[in-house]
Amino acid sequence: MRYGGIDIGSRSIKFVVVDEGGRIVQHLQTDTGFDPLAEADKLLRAAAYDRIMATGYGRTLFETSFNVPTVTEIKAHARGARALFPHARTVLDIGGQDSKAIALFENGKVKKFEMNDRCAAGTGKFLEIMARTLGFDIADFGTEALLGEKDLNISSMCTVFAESEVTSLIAKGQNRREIARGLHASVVRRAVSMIHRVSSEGDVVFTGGVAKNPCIQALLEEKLRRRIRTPPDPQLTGALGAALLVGE
Amino acid sequence: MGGARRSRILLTGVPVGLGSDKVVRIVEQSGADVVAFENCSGYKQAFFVDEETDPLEALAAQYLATPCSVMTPNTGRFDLVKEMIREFSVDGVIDLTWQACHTYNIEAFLVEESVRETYGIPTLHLETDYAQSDTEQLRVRIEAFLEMV
Repeated sequence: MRYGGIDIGSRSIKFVVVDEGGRIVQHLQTDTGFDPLAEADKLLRAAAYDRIMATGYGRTLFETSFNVPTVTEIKAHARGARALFPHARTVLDIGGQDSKAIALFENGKVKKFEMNDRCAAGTGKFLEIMARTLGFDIADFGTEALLGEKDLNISSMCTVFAESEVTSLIAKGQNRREIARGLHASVVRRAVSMIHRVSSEGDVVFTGGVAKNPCIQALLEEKLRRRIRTPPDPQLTGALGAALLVGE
Repeated sequence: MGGARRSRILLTGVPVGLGSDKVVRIVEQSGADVVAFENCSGYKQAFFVDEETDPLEALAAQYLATPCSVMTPNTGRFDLVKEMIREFSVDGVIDLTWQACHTYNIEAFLVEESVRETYGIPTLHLETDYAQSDTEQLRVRIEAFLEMV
């Protein structure tokens, strides 16, 4: 029996297939683009599975078209994080356009959650836009930022205003890498305040695409002063959770 | 969920009415029912005035006792919420705050704590306005909350 979980995110679609033991046997990913259903359909045709569950912001669209059960990304990320770290009590997920902090009971069920999905601040979108403004590739943005020796404080919370602020800093001749580090610190500040609203101690499992960024990882651990546990493919956590929940 | 009974939700916090009922509608669309309204437009308004004393004084005393978050301490609200949870067999509480009705925003922490300590059921605190633009953001929070209940 193979269980599939599809996470239709705002930026990318992730698909994970697990076997009955909960081990990942296949995983695929593609950009969401402007036609999420067509992109999701391509992924499904390339995979082998018996049953499927959908999560992510595009799950309702998927549910109506493909007649599959759905689960919110909160429950999916909680389940996925638990599978990867069996004693996880706090999960931080930073995706393309939203971020969330989830506190779990000892048995793994969701206890409390906080979300930011109303603006791009503190999300992958913020980093994408800033990388472009500074002339970095998003894949290297974190590594470059880590080379900056100090945090240049970016006072604007809003992505649009922060971009203007960055342009001013560039015009003043400030170091690109230090600006980058300051921008990463800005994302981390928002994440830390969200985490504090759901839990005050214990390790934090870091999921979502932004978890791949080494500068965010480092600054998060430094500012939060709690251990950050990041799985090897953090962006797959939601889809993994959905796949595991089908069978349960 | 299929076949399971619909969760019973209590709504506390700010008033809702025609045109400002999006949260109630989303809860119902997501497969649960708001069975009790403790909020400002609900049961909070029902009270008994002391008929034995001077009427004006009795009315004044009752107005001062209104369990709205602008008054502090507001223990009357927590008592009413807890009483209604019991009377209406409530599974979960949604605490709604309109933006700028900030006293409710601040009290939300105490509501959640009080409900959790007494009944062990979860509370979802939402802050929004009358616009329809954040309907989907509210929906994902409400759906996630109903998965917890």
